[in-house]
Amino acid sequence: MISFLGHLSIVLALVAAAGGAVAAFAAPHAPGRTRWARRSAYLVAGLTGLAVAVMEVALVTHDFSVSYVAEHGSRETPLYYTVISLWGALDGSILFWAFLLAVVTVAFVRLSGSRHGALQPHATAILLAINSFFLFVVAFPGDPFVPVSAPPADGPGPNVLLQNNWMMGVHPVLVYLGYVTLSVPFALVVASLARGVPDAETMRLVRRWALLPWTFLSLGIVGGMWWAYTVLGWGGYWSWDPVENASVMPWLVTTAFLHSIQVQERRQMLKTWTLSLVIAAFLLSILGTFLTRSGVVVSVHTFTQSAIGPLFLGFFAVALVLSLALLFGRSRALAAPGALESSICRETAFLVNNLLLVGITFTILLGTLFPLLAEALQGSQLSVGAPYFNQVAVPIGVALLFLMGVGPVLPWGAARLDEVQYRLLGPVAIGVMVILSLLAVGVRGVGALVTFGLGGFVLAVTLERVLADIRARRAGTGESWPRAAVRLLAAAPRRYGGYLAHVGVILAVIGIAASQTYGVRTIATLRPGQSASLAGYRLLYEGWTPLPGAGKMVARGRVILYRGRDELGTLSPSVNIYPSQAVVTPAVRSEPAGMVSDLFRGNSPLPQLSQLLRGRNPFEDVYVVLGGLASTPRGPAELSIIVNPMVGFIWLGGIMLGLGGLVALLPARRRRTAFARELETLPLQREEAAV
Amino acid sequence: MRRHLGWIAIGWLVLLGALALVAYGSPSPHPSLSEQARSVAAQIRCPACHGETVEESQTAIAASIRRLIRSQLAAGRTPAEIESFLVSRYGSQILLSPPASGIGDIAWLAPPLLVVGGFGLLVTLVADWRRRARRPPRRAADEYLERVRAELAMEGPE
Amino acid sequence: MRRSLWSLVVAAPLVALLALGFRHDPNAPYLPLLGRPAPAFTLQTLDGRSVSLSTFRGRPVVINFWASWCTSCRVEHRYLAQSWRDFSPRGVTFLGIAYDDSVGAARAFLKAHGGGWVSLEDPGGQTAVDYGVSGVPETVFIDRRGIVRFRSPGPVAPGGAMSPAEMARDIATLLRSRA
Repeated sequence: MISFLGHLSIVLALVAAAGGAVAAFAAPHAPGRTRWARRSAYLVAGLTGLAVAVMEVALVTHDFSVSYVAEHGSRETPLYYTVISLWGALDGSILFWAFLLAVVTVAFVRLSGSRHGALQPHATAILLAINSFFLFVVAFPGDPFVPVSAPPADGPGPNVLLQNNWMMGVHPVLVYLGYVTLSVPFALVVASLARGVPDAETMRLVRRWALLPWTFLSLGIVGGMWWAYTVLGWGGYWSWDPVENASVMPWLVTTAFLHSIQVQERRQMLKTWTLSLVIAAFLLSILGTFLTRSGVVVSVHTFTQSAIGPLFLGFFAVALVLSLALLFGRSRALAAPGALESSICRETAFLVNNLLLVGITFTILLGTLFPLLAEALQGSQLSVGAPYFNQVAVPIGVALLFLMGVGPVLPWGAARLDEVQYRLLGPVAIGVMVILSLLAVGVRGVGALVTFGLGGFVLAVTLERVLADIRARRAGTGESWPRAAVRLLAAAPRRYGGYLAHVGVILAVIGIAASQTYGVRTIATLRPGQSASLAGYRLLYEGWTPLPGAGKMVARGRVILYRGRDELGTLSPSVNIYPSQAVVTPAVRSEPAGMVSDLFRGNSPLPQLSQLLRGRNPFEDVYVVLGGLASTPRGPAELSIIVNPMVGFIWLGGIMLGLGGLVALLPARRRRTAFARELETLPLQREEAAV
Repeated sequence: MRRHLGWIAIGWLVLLGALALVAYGSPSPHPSLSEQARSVAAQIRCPACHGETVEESQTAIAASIRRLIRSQLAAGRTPAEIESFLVSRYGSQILLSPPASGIGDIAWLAPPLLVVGGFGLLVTLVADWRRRARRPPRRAADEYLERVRAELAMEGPE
Repeated sequence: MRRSLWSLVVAAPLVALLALGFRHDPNAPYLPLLGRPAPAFTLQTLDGRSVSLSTFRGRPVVINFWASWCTSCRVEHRYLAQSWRDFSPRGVTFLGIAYDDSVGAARAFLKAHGGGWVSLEDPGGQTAVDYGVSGVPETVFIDRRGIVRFRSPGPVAPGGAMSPAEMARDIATLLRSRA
């Protein structure tokens, strides 16, 4: 009964979506049919929401007559993981995607209602068409509502790796939201290309909508890294797995778009390129989904091979051909003669930025698809992993870092080389001082030192720019520092959101460079009472205790962490032993988070602080994984110990990225007439007004 | 702004000096046995895991392969020989990088060529745009007036 | 219109490449050394005697990599034992290689689960690496000429990487091979 209800909702939603798309395509000028298209969007969202609700009810009540619940539910799984198992496996995840897409379609319909009267029906039609595809997949090959004729008494439960951490409820949602919201700028661009050429107002809308997926993907990607680090137990956070690559490629392309759109808005240049970026971002998200769900590449995330793969490939092919056809068809109309007074200007910097970002994206795409290519051309089975990506993509990334410091310093329009170099002197000096100070305290390693120096350089540039802006405003308005800062933020949220994002990137890059270069690890076989040492820490192993849990036995270890004579805390790495496999949960102590939580617990942070004075890195993670358990708790165990410096910077950087995106989404305060906006796009000789 | 030239020159010299110091202070080009073993192990895929290298994996087979790498290095084999031995036992997908020649050329050369080629394209584009900027604009004032009029007609009262 | 058709030209290679990916499942395990000579080894039994693979040239050999700490090895053991009872009298040699295991634990396992074939110690797992083993259990089937003919990349058990019936068929094929 419940299966029938869920399946029926999906089929009805499919009919509504397809019908709405046809109606909107067929007669976008007849207001009656346009209204039907909008209504069908609401209907699709409602029906898909109903299907999701039905599935959740089935999961929570352990109704094993529904195939998805029979395959992935279990009475022993805690409630939180039962609820989020909706997206833990293939069929449910596509249902969830369809639901999110329907909600975003409704949001688009509501938020762009009155403006864009001419464009909205087409864009809504495209969104509804995308909805139809996903609903078709859920309705037929990927149906989670298939009724089970002999429902079992209990099910196997979701994949045990997905039950280890609350992040499983957050990271996939963020990434899916990122993919789903990429449909809107795509729909807008394709709709406007179908009708002619997008105007400035449309591009403004596209720009705003593109910030959403960028923010979601930023948070989702870093969230995924945090989850991998905290849960999987190998002490790393990124393995260049195809599914990780699939989320990073749309993000890179969207970042490139957010830069090139600024050149287009000011100069009416690069229109074809900018539109291609929007289309590419959406297509890459579909491609990534295809790679994940088809099983054509080896991936830890591959859901399994199924009939869904060829469908996604077909959808990708159709979307690719249609978008390219539109782009090629309109290329002559889009071509605008560009003009630049000087080659040293922010426009050029953004062009190089785009080149580098697309270069990294191309590298990642090539590396991910290379096994396929090698098999097709040569028949050989090859792997492409971290060594390739690190050697090819990372140098391009370093060049991009440098550009992040130079770009904000360059004015729009034209600049003189010696002036620019003069402006850069201060930040360069700071970068050099960072390198020299690190060298002086004994830090070594070319790559890491260059990264730290560049990081200091870019942070100095960003800070200097913000201070210069505040100073300029105060000179004009006489406000106090805090008020000027707030007013500036309200007046130009995109600029300061961008600066925040730059700071986030730098922090994350510093964290990655430090942990990759200076991380150390060791494996020690210890009996209770024995210790191991690493990087100045001493870890005393005290054994493990068995804790029965739902459907598993948890072996919780106990390790006391010392530095010198000071006890820093207790770590509890554990192993969840299920009937079929054992899953480790590492224990991590991160400073200074550890110090802060000690404070809250009422312990004095003095031991840790005194460590600082004795030259200990205040931003280190000590990471312990328990393994190789003997049959008794008193027997030996294998402890993997990893000391990773500055991993916390990566998470902090991620938060800054998300914050930057949110700030950039804030509406700018001023209402300006179109003419005033037009004036702003005229090229200027100097960026600052008279100071 | 010529008076800045002096400062600019000093800035570049300091930067160069710092980079030289960095390169000087870096580890020597003669790695120890364990460093060599680690770098070879970082190129080998752990056969029992998904995407982890033999160097970072904690599975038993990864430890055995690490032991093999170390003993073969100590016996005087080159990293290339060790890699081809492992390929003969585990297949070509045990290596984590595309080969340095043959079809691997596509993987290693295409991205740098793309970036360098793209940069060249950029240079020509920018030169093109600069050339166009130097030509005097035709009837620019009228163009703007036209657009203002058109826009006012469209928008109506704000 | 003509320009738009170029979109097909650009899209076709990419889509074709992706479609080709369906032909082969990259997640399927790679079976090493098939058709190649089995690497030689000399290992100690659990009692300390020395055994070389070369002594068994001319007879089919079944090598089973196992460990006492491995749960699937426990499951497949009885099917191996049945196979040993069936084929050992017909001249097939069965060898067990205990991977990354202590002698005491290995002996205890064999005492608990039986199995009369010789088990060898592989300290450090170097022989396992020589045979391209990814984990335990794995079983290698070698013909009379010392060529590896079949492999099971996982347990030989119903629902495992190789069924017991398939193992019987493979060993029969080994017996028919010429020296």
